[in-house]
Amino acid sequence: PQTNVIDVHISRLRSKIDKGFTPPLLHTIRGAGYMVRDGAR
Amino acid sequence: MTALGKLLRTTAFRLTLVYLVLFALYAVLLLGFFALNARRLVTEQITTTVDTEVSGLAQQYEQGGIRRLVQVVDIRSRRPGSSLYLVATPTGQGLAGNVSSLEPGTLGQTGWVETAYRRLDAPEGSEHHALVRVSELPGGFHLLVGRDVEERERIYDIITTAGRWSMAVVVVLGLGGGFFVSRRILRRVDAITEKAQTIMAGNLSGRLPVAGTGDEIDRLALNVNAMLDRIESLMRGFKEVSDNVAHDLKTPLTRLRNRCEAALRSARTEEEYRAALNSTIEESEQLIRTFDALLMIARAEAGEGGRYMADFDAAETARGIGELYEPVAEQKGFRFVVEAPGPAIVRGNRELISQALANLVDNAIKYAAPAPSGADAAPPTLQILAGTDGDHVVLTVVDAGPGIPERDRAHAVERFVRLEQSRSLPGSGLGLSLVSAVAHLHHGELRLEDNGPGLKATIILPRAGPPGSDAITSGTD
Repeated sequence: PQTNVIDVHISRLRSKIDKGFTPPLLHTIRGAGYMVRDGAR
Repeated sequence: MTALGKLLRTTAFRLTLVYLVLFALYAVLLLGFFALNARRLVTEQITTTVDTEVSGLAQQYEQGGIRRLVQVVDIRSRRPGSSLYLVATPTGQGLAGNVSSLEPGTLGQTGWVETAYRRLDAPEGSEHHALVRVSELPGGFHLLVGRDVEERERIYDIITTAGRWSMAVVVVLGLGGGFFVSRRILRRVDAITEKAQTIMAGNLSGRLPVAGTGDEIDRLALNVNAMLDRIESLMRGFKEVSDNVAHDLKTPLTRLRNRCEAALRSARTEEEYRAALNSTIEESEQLIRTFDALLMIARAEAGEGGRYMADFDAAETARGIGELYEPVAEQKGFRFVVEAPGPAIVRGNRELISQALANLVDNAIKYAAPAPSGADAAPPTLQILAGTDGDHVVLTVVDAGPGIPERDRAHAVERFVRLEQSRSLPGSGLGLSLVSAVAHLHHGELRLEDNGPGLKATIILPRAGPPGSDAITSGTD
């Protein structure tokens, strides 16, 4: 797909699980994809 | 090969020759049969006449002895146009009749004899042939009665002469006709060959000559011409595509190189290098996407996707695409509607069809997005519809955007074609090409219609599997 379909999905997801929390769980790995990771470690 | 040799080698000439030989054989048989039969008929007439005379004369002999016979024969042989008569003593001395000489030994035989003779009334004339019947009368006398066979031979001769002449005429006319027909055909074949050679030499726009008679050579030429049309359009398409590929890939590659150059020249900090690298990666990803799309189209057009054909529910695929695009569509301000109750079973490559549908939705989002300002205006609708219509499965994406002008619709599905209004937006110009290629791969079609306003893009595919709900899903929910 040309448009940023995945980006929008992820941003929605991010707004649901990460909004208002630090550190974030959902990380963007450039060139590979996304990862759920405990930001502290 | 000489011109004559070429002529003699043509199929037409050979066929003529074979036909001529067969016909001649048939004519010889027919004429021979006719001649022999005519001859037999005349012979039969002669023998019947002679038999009648012999039995009459024998009767006379029985009643009046040799004297009476001699008298009767004498009278009969004086009649004009009479048969041949001879009454002879046992020693062979003539007593009466109109025969002056015979082949020696004729009288010694009895029954039917063919012999040469001279008539008494024409002793100096040439010898003639006759068919005679010699009978021995009681008392040793010979009675010879016969008829000239010259007439019979003449009829026979006439027939055989006519036969020979007509054979000669048949052969001459047949050969002449063969030459004529072969030369006509050869001329046309030569014209076609000549043209074909110029086409082979690179002039693809040349076409074979068509005489307009609608015969087999014309049909062949027409078909070859149709083939050439197809080849020419394929070649043109191929050339266009390679031109476009070269052009469209050169631009981003040049940009990429320039960006790297600029970074090398002016970047100082690690941050700046990082940013430059990131932008090159983005640029290359765009390139890779273009290549992927090209490869996918090429595969779909080559029918390679056919290896992964399976029955699946296109309505389910449509729902999946809907789910995938819903957030983006809503973010861009569409009222997003998916109507795909299914099942709409299609035999095909699920991935390709799903990609095609995604391309249509993608286009709709890209080109029909409302201006971001108007929150007060009613949001435009973007619909995905999937359903069946008779023998077809119909996947439709409807938007309310600017649409595509009718004159551009056929053009829009070509590779790398970007219509005027869309030049400013990102894109490779390959989206609709892929949709069209996928539809064709599945023996279907892509239809672009006016939604007034907006575009209604429909993928029509042949339906597979058991008949399900026949109701086409439509309407605006």
